Amino acid sequence: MTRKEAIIHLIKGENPGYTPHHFDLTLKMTDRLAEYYGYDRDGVEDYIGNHLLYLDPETGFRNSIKGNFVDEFGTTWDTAGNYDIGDWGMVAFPIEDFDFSNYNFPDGKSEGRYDTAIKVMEKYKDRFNVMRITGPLNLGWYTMGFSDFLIGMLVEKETIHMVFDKVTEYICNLIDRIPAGVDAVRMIEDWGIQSGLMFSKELWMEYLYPSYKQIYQKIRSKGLYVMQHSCGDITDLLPVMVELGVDVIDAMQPEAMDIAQIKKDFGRDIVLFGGLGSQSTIPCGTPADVIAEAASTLKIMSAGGKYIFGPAGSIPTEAPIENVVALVDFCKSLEEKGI
Amino acid sequence: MSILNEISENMQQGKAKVVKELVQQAVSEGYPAKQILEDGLLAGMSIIGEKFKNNDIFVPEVLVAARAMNMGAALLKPYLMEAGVKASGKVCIGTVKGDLHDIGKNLVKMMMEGKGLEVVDLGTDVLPEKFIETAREQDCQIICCSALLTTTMGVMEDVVDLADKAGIRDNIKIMVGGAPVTEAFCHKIGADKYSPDAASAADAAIEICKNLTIEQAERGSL
Repeated sequence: MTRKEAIIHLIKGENPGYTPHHFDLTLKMTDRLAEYYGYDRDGVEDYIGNHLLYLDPETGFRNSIKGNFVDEFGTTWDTAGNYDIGDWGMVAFPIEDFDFSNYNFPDGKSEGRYDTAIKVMEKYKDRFNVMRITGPLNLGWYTMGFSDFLIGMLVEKETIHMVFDKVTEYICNLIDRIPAGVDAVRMIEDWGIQSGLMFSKELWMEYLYPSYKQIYQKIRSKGLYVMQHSCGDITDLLPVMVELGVDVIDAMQPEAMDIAQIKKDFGRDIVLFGGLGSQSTIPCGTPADVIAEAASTLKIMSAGGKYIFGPAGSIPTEAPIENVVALVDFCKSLEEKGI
Repeated sequence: MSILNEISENMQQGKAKVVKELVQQAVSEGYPAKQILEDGLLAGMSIIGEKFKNNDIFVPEVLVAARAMNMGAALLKPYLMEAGVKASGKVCIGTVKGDLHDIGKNLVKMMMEGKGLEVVDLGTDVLPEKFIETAREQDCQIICCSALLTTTMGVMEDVVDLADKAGIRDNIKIMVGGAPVTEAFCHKIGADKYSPDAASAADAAIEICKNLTIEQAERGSL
């Protein structure tokens, strides 16, 4: 069975015979592992045995200003920042005071966006190919900044609804052009903080529900599986994820959520992905601590299947290398031992 | 309802323009600026802080309330200065070197301002030297360091070490916070206070400023 088939079995509720795994490494951590194992970057990917192959559309940066670049939405990004856990390097936004009168949204129809993805897929034949697409909340706030956007969700409703409509159309156009060979779309953004949702479920239902309903329908219409990422505690949204037909959800951050309860409540309806803390034991514990936590997470989450094992987030670049190696060994043993 | 309660109520609902008008009206009616600040704006923000701590409201509600508070406070500022009203304490805050994630830091800043503290915002990616330099130059009682990444939280220890070397720990306390930061980490690096959320951080800062004032008075250094 290929790794792709294992994930498809899992999504369909069938038993692939072991618990598939996947974990993100930063480029710097990949290089540290390459040095440790004596492989190149591709060799590390092979050795780790990741089941998913992450692909990205070309991001559409249109020009460069003193080392920063401006993307197709007009947002300026700082390249010197720390990109370990996400796209947080914006330094300037095109919109002020909710004024979109002189602004044109990109339509997502430009050609060549998937050229790199196609080449990458040719290289790794047996993986479950996942196209990562930035979600409508993130694309929306990238135009004006996070605080303004959240304020707008309460006091500039008409404008914010317009923004959601436009970025949803952009995302659907991206999905429409996804090339053959891709298996799933993983929508990426964050709705949760450590102690719950970032904004109320009512606001989520008002703005994001109609947007995601369209996006997920578009993904399914292309014959692709639906994956969704959010950091933080999004327990309150899991019933909606099930209702909207999401196939796989991550990150299942144990520092923020009761993953055992979630497994009990939703484990039959949706594939849970992640669950191993990346904020505490991996960066701060010993290899024995990592193995103990990995084993206990696996025990809770793999019961009844529908689980992809992995850390809830990228492994921090400066985590002790022996901890990461211990985790790699643990993951590889799952397939070998049929656990 | 008194005008001060009206200010508090409208501020909690984020009605910035109404708050500004009511603050102006209260000034015209002869209310002391300090009373308008404390019983109107800060009282409202205190309720917002509690509700946020209890998960009754979310980040957007805090942001709109803080925006309304700032509009009222800006109008009040010259009157407060004229009356010689001082802030309850002064804090410099920033995300540590290498960390650009400032949502948590901004919430802490808002909550601290909502408690009547003056906050010097150093922004993101702040060098340890900058924290120390600013705290000294601007007479801050507290340095407040924020980090979201496990890879950057170690910089907080550099801030503590530098403060030790500078010999300022008696008069300037160091607070730490952010998703990966824990009480144990705070003790390990020798910082003075860890807070798990923005509202608690603001409460802790007020407490620290009070205690410092008492300690300094006892030492006769005031």
